Amino acid sequence: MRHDFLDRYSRLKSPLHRLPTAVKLIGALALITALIVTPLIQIWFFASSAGVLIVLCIISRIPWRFVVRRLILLEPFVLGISVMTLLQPGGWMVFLTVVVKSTLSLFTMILLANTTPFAELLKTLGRIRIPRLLITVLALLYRYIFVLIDEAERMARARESRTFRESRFQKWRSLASLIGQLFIRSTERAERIYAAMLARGWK
Amino acid sequence: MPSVFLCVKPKKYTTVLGQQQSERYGLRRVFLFSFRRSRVGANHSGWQWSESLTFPRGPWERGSMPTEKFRSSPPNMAFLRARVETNSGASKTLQRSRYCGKLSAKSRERRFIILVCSPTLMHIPDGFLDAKTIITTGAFSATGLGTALRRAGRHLHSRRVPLIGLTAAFIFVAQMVNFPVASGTSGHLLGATFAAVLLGPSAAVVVMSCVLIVQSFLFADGGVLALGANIFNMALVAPLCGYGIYRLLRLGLRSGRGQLVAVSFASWCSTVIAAVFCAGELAWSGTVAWGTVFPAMAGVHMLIGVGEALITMLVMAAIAVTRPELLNEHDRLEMQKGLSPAFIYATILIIGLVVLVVPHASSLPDGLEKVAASLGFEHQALTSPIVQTPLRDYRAPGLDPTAGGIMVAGAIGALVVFGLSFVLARVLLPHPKKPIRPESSTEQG
Repeated sequence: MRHDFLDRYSRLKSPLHRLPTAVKLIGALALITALIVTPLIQIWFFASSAGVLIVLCIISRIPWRFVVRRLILLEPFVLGISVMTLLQPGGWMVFLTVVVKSTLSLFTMILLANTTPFAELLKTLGRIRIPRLLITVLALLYRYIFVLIDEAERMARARESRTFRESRFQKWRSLASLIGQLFIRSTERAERIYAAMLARGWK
Repeated sequence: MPSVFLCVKPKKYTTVLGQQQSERYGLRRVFLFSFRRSRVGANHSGWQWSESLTFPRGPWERGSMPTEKFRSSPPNMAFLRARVETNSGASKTLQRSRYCGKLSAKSRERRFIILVCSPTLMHIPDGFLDAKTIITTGAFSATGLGTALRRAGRHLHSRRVPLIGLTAAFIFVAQMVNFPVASGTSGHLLGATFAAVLLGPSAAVVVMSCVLIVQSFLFADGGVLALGANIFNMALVAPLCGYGIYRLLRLGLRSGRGQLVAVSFASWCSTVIAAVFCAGELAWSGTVAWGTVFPAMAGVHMLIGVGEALITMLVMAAIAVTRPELLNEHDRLEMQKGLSPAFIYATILIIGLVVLVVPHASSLPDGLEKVAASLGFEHQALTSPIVQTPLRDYRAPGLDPTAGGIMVAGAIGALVVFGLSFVLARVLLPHPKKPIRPESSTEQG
């Protein structure tokens, strides 16, 4: 299977991709902080940061359709919470503020995730004294998502090709046993990985 | 109606049609439809009749039903629909969507993101929280995560490190498995309590934090600056409260069945409590008024929590059938350990409760204004407060019954979930006293 659907464009070649990870990380965090702290009245700031982000997106050669699609996919979750602000008096202004700020932050994060490979990010995090256990767990998580997705899909396909119609309760039970089986397999895999890590001189 | 099964072999794109049960009706004719997407230049899109098959008139002997093959053209994504006619003249359309063959990277990604993002009603994006909330929750979760990491580093055998990583990946993937609820909507395992029960509280904190960090960095799902708040809600409050409630209930419910009851009730509670904390943070930032956000978040998550409780219970039952020793591994370990970090966690949770939730939940009608006055809201300064204040004063007492109603509903909901989980535990584990078949404890397929 193809494993590039997580951070698909993070391995492109562009000036933005070549930039040191620390610079990108700090830049993104600074921009998001500025976006959150600035009140919406200063429209010029939001407009200019949107402009900067669009320029960066063009420089990075990430297809704009991909970015737009991701934004559209993520926007419902922003809107879901924002709708609650409309229920209070004078909520329109808060609604606008929240939607503009979070959309721009989302845009920033999409750019960061797709110009920086996750391993690089972890390396940078390791340099700033993030505990090693956390880094190891994050690395393992990122590495084995794909393997487990594959495994879950295989099991789901096998189950589906054996059943055609089932009651909802049956379906829930079989999905639950799929998850349970997945957990069992991942604990077993963890044992094997531990042996392999020891064999390669870990710790 | 005879039940038939359609089997799609992904590589050969061959559809085998067979009959499983109730052969007395007999199949007469089956039409297969497949869904085609229109491409450039093609003028058709939609359900297309592709092949049909007529069976000899039944009834057949049991098992002698002729198995026939359909050879359909290889669609990339086939949504199969079959129209089945029987000897008695009845006809029915069977439909299911399924992926046939390899998914294109694009559709796969779309599905993946939708699934990953869907349990995110509680993931706060950037822009919803103000500076003081971000800093406070960040400090809380840094302390909590630091404690968890230190404790895991000191107490856990290094053998458990890959297990923590794999469990994190597992939770991530398990959140993608969709449980159909009603037409179009679906539920997920959130997994905080599940992880806490199986691995212990410290490891669960690390696991859930890692899942949240990856979700926020790779999917922009949940903000980066809001990560502190999200970790606090879903990686500290949810697993620790869930675990605490689980331990308490286990004092009384010691059997295998009791474990299921305790787990499902604890996961319901943890979902609701995490949602209340999330509401508290949103209200404290001044984004949404407490009177609005508390009923909404708590109400919705009382329903979501039922799904979470059910799924967690079913998964635990499924594990109990194949590998029961995995469920008790942590329980045994826990008996031998001291309780010192529990105090740190409890302190963090209680301080968080006092700071984030209690001011709003107080019966004083001006609780929100008091906090607003003492700490200052950016957003309130933004939206003209002269117009807003009288309305707010008018609304605050009016909304109190709603919040009270939600609390009553919560209490009733807790009782109902507790009762339901007892009933379900009976269904799922019929013989709690009898040891589960020893031969099934070995590895299975």
